[in-house]
Amino acid sequence: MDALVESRDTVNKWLERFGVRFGVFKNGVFNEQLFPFDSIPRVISKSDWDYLEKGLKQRVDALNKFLYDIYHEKKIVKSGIIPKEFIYSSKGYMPECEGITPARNIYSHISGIDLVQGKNGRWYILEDNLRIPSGASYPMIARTVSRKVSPETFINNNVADNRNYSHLIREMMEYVNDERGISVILTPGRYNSAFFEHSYLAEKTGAILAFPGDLIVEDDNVYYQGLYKQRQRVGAIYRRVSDEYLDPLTFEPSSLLGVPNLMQAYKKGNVAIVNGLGNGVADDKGIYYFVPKMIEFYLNEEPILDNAPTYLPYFEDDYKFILENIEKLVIKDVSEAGGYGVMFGRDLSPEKLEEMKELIISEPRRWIAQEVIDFKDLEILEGEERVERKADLRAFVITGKTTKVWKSGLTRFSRNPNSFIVNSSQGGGFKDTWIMEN
Amino acid sequence: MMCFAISPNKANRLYWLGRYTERVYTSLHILRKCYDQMIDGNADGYINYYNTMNINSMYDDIPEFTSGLMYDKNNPASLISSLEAANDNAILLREEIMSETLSYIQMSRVRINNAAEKTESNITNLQPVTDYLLAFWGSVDERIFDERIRNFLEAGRLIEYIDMHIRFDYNFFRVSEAFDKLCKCSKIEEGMFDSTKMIKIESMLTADSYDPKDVTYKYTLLKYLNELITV
Repeated sequence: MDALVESRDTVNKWLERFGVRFGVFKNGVFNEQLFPFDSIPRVISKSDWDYLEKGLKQRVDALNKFLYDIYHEKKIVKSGIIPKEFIYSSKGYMPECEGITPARNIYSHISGIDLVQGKNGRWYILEDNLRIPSGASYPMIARTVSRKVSPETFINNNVADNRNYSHLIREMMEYVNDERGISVILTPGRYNSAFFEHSYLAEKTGAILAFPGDLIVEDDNVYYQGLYKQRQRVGAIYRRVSDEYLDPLTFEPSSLLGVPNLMQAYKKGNVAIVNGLGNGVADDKGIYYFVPKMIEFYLNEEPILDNAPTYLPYFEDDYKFILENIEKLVIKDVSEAGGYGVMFGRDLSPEKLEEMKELIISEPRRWIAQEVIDFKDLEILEGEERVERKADLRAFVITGKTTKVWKSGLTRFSRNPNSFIVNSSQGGGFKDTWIMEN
Repeated sequence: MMCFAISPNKANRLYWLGRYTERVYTSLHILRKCYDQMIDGNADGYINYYNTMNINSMYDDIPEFTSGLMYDKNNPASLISSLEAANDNAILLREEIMSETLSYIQMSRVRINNAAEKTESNITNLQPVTDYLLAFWGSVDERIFDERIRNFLEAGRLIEYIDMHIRFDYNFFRVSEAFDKLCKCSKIEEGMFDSTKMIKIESMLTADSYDPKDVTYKYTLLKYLNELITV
C-alpha cells in the first residue's frame, strides 16, 4: 500500500486531468474546486463488511416499506409506533404523494447511509440520505486512477472491485424503466455542486444527461426533445433536482429546473423517478430515531446496525435528559443538512447553552440530541506527515430487483484536527474505501 | 433503449466546442509565427494580428498585448478565454465525448493557467496546449462513434478554421479544402445548414474569385459563413 500512499500527488493530478471537481458558492461567487483525495484508504475487513452489508440491506428495505406505508395506509402511525406529528410536521412529507405507488413500488433506489466507527470498533448509523445522496463517483474514479498509478498495490491486496457502481445503477434503472423508453439523468446544470457526478454517471451508465428544458410532458408521458421536433419517450429519470423544484405546476411555481406536469406522468405510472418523491419524510433527522422500530415493525427482525444514541425532546423523559445534560450532547436542527445546524454542547458558552435550551423548549420537534460518539480517527497525509482525523463513511445501497450494497463507499474526513464535520462543502477531503475480499 | 435524439442545446454545445478548440489551435499557430518574427525585432505580425481580431484598442504596447492576448480573462479574444469557452461546452458534454476526450481540454486549461500565473511570455511554452488539442481531436476520432455527434463537432471546427484562414488571408487551397469537408458534413445533417448561404459561399469560393484582400469580399464571405448554421 505504501506505493499508493506515496503516489497521492500523482493520483490528484489524474483527478484534475479528468475534471473531478465540485462547485461551491461563496459570497455569491461560484467556484469549482478539486476535492482533495487522500491516498491512505479506509480498509474494512470482510467480516466487518458482511455485518454492515446485512444491516444496511435490512435498514433500506425497512425504509422503503415505511415510505410505502406513509403514503398509503399509515399502519405504523395507527399502531402508535411513530406519533403522527413526526410525519405531518416533517418538511420532507409531501401530501401530493399520497396514494401514489412508484414504479416497482420502490421509493429509495439509491440510499446513502452515513456511518461512523467508534473507537470501540462498533459501527453507528449517523443518518440516512434517501433523497439525492451524492458522492459515489469520487471513490469510483479515484479507484480507477489508483489502479493505473499503483497496480502493484492492487496485485498485493485482495480489494473488492468498486468500478461496478455504474453497472448497479444501470441495472436498477432498467428494472424500474421496464422498457418504457430511454433513461436520463436530470441535472439542474453546471452550477450544481455535484455536477461532475451527474455527468460522470451519465457517461458510465450510458444514460442521457438531460438539462432543464430538455424534457417535456405530453399526454402524461415524458419525452426528451431533440432537434427538428424529434422526441423520444423517457422511461426512467434519475433526477438530481430536489423534490420541490421538480414540477413547477405541483411544487415551487418559480422553479426553472423542473419539468412541468411531471407529477401527472409519475402518478399515472408512466415514468419511474429515481429516487421517488416524498422520501424526505424518511430521512428526516427526527424520524431517524424510529428506524430501529421500523425494522421490527415491517420486517419483524431485530435491527442489525445501531443508531447513535439519540434523544427526542418530544418525549418527556428525553426532554428532561437533554436539558440536564446538554453540555455533553450534540444538538442537531432537523431542518438542516450538509453539516450545518450541528452544535456540540461542550463548545457552547453558558449563555449560548441557555439560548439553546430556550429553543428546544419552544420548538421541541425541531431538534434532536445525540451522544457524542468518539469516532475512530483515520490516518491522513498532511503534507508528508501522517496525522489522525475524524472520518465518516457513506455507504451506497441500491434497490432494484433486489437490494444490493456497493462494495465501497465515500469516506470523507475533516482537515481540521478539532472538527467532527467532514462535509466537502466545509473543506473536507475524501479517501477510497477498500472492502477486503478475504 | 438507445437514444437517437440530440437536444438543440447539445447540438449547440458540440458545435461551439468544435469552434473554440479550433480557435485556440489556429491562434497558437499564428501567434507562434508572430513570436518568431519578433525574435528579429519585427512586430508587424502582432500588429496585423490585433488589427485582424479587432482588439487593437485594448493594449498599449506589444508586451502588454502578447501577455493580454494569451492570458487576459477579460478579453474574449484571448487564448485563455477561448479555452475557457471550449471547456464550458466540453464539461457539459462528458457523456458524449467521454472523460478521456474531455481530459485533453482539462490539461490544456491547467497548462495555460499555470503559464498565466507566471506570465510566461514565450509562446513556445504553450506547445503542450497544441499537443493536447491534437490529442483531443484524435480522441474524438477514436472514441466517438455516433456520426451525428462527430458531425456537429467537425462542422464547428471547420467553420472556425475557414473563418480564421480567411481573416488571415490564407491561400485559396487551404480554405477550399476545408470547405469541401464542410460540404460533406452538410450532407450528414442537412437540417443544420442554411442551404442558400451554402450556395452563396460556394459561388464566392472559387479560385478565380477568392480575394481576401478585398475587404468587402472578405466580410461578406465571413458573414455568410457565420450565418450558415441554423440550429
